[in-house]
Amino acid sequence: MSVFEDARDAQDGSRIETDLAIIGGGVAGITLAHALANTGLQICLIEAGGMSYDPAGHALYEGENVGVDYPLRANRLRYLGGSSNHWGGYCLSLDDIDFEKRDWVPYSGWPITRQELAPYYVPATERVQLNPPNFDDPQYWAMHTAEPLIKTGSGRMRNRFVQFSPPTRFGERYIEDLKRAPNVRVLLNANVVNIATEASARHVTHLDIKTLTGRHLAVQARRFVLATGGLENPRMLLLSDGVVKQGLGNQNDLVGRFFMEHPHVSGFGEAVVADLKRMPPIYRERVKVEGVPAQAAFAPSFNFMREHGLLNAMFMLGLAGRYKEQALTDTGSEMAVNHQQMLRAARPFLRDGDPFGEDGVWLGIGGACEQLPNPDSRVSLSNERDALDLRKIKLDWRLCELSRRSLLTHIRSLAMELGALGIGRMTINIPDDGIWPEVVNGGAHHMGTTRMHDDPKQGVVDRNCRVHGVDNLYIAGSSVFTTSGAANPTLTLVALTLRLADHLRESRA
Amino acid sequence: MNRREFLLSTLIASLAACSWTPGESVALPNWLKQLALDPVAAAAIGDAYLAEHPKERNPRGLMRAIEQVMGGGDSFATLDQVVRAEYVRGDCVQVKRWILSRTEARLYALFAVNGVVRH
Repeated sequence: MSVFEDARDAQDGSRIETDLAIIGGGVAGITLAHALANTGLQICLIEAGGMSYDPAGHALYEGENVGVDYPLRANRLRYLGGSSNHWGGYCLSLDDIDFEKRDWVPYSGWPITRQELAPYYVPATERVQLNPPNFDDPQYWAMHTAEPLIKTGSGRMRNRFVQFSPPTRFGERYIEDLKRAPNVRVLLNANVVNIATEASARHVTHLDIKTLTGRHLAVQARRFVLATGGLENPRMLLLSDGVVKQGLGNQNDLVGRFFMEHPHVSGFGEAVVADLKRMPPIYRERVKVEGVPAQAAFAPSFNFMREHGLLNAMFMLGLAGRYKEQALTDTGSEMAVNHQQMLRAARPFLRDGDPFGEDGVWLGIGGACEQLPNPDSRVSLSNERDALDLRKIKLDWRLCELSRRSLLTHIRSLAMELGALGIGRMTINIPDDGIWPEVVNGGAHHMGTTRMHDDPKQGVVDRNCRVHGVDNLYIAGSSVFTTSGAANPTLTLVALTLRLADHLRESRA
Repeated sequence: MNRREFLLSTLIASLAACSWTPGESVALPNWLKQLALDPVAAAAIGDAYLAEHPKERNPRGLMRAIEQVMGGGDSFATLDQVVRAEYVRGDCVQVKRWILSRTEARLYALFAVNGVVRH
């Protein structure tokens, strides 16, 4: 049996020795500990929170925004399972093109291909309780939904298929497995406050840990994995400045830079559809396929992105309301009148047979776009300090014109695709005026702040997620993403973590 | 736009404007009259299109433009193909925030200027 300990109960000044110390008991940390459970490696999984939400611990996530406003506190959870405890469960893989060096996307190009990661998407889907990673094959989905799927014809868009995890709450889901593993020790309420190194800063010796009750501990290990999320990973490196003043692994001033999100704009458009037979259910609602909910999404085709120099994006539609055939009166909202007018005007184009009865339906559209990697979009340290006397995070989230232009172009493509297919008509409610709408939200997707690159001058970690220049420190999580793609990041970060587990297992000697 | 194109477009626009008087309409071909659309709704959208494209406020010009892209076809099926092809090509306009194929928008404009005939 493993040991679950509360650091607040440990003797002050105590020292734990282990083979592998994993900092962070969220999606990446638990995935890694679980993958290496029941091996010969002695593992210590260090979680800053406890078994449930605690306001005092959560307050340690407060920080300073100097760029686009970002909910640093609301976007994350600090207890076992981490942010999976409020995860929405959207899962799909990154695309091939997301890994490529694209000449119109500065700083693009992962050191690994999607093909290299593909074998890890299979067990990753199991970890989040999904069917196999089939996100792009319309034939599979047509067969399993017994519906002919939409064949996009303009060349601008393609189909993708999102699977929805229950969602997996990693703490709850894997706690019993971890408890049963004889080689796993879980340390709760243990805040790592420093990653200590030898004088050369090329080798980590131990972690300094502090509890909110004032206890101090140390964890000594042969290897260390930092898995505290895309915001805390760079913060932890920057805070570890005992030897290198600019922060551990930050010899090239890259730690914290390239912060990426998936910019979401709400209310950018609506669609109306007169005949739902032209839009199979999986395009407008979640449909269970082999027991797992799934929904179709629209994404720009690779060719269209290449031809027009655009970033990736993804859109999903959802049934929002129905219109009975009734008089358009002043009592209806302007939007409803507008929708009904369109449904009635375009009726011959949008439906077969009996033109009377229900006018049709309207669908809301959700979408997000890839963000251009930008070194000025960054995490750094504030001069304010938290309850552990650590400098708080300072986030400068910056958006760029290419993302905005890509988003607008792809929204327009979606509208044209629906028209070309005779499915519906769509509005675009935001102007293409070169300015981002006033309100832009993220998806709680924190990426890029310890990016992966073979060249230490272009990335913080190498292709094996090892911090450049430090021989026994690795990073797990979406902070290693070189580019963001448009897919929700959880499945990919699980796949990358499973790949890291293989590397750690194979490189034990 | 160079000087020649500018003069030509001005000439066409003025001819179009002179050739139509308010209240004048064109006879719609049967296939168009039988369309199962709501002419009031179509006219509302068509009005918005014409507000952005005032030079096209001419039923004969609009009818001619529609017939021209239909290439001699005289059925809704042909029109539907034309409209879908315009969406594919991206030959679209934005009207009341809707993305519409150009010919579709002109069709609605025709209902706006030609007077609404209820089925």
